[in-house]
Amino acid sequence: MNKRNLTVLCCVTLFALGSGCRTNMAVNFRNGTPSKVWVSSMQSGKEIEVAPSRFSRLPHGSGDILVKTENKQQFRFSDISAFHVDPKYREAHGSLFGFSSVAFTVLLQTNMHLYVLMPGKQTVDENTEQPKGYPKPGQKLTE
Amino acid sequence: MIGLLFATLATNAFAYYMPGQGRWLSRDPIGEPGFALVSGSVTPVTQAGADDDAISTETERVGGENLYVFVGNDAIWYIDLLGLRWKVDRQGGGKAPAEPEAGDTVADLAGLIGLNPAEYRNWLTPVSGTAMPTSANQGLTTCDKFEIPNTVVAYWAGDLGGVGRWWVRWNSSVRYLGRRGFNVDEHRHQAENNMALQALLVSKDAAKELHGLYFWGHGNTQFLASRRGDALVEYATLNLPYKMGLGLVFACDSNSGQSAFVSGTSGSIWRGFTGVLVPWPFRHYHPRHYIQPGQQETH
Repeated sequence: MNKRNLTVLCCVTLFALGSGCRTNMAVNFRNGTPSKVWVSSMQSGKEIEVAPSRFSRLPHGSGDILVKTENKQQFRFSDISAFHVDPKYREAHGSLFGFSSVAFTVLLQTNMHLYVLMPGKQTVDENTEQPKGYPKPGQKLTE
Repeated sequence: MIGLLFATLATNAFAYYMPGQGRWLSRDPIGEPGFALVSGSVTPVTQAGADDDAISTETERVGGENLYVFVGNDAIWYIDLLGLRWKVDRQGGGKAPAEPEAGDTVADLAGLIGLNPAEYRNWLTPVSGTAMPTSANQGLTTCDKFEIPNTVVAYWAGDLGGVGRWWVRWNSSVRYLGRRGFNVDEHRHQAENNMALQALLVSKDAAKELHGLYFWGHGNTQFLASRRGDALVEYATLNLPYKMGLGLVFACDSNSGQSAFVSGTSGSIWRGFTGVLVPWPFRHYHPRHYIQPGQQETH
């Protein structure tokens, strides 16, 4: 490799590993109810559809999350943020090519409460300690 | 001829001013050696026997970088009735002494250092028996003594360790801020230290020491963060008692946090980013491009 290519390679590598990149934030939303729900982020404005017993990733930094059920009921869950829970509940990924991401997983139960799941888990049980503020009850919104 | 000359000059107690050129005919006496002998209000700033360069440097430090300039080249916002103004002496302490000339106000001082005059009770510290002014526009006397915030928090949450810091000239930047007279409080982010920077800023601000923030790391529209997933500052909950005068925040989308960090009033300095920040080589990331000697009463 000649000197010019080596210089270009070094520059590209340092660029890719550069120190000032965006941290993307998300909520992995698992649906523990028997029907389909639509989940939207008040912060990012994004909406996802989550089938029963499935999960989907919602871009969301902090703020409120709205959940709409099949029977047209709406529930608001306030102050949902990966940065507001203990680091052991979070999944953080640092990419070599700039962007990093932080996410945590929540489970919506039939009682319309949001539980936090440990990374890699799909259910909560009595032994699963919940972070402060969880399980979080949904506030039913009137039409 | 002499009458024509004086017709084109405005004067106050201590100097002639040429409106056409927007500058003093003579040097600003606040920075001149021996001025105390004339006014009885300013401590001489040079020692007998000092060489000319030392005199020039030291006197210009007191009156600003250019002793011929009128109110920091900002005549729309400032007045200088006596040809004098606040004397701020940044010497690297957590707080810096600030002494008014007769008739100066806290609002004048706020304009010089970039803090919000409406928040002066939260950043101004009266010393030596001086009472807190009842308003930011109250005229002060030369007997009044104050201290102002003088600490710049330098927080590294970037990557690649020493290579990353070399790439963005971190060490040189920290030294530069120190040479300007700030007390630079340097930190490097430790893993899983959630909201560490936010707690640091709030405590320094509550102690009336925080003047600015110099930051390299990651972010988004709501947080400053580390790559490994620690939140460092949440803009929505960063409720500083007073906003800073200096913010150099090198992170993605950091402009979203501008109003949470800096006062935004006249004299404040902000450098943030909208969208993705990529630290390209040969770009102007060094603080010398944003705060220069004399600005905000630095050396």
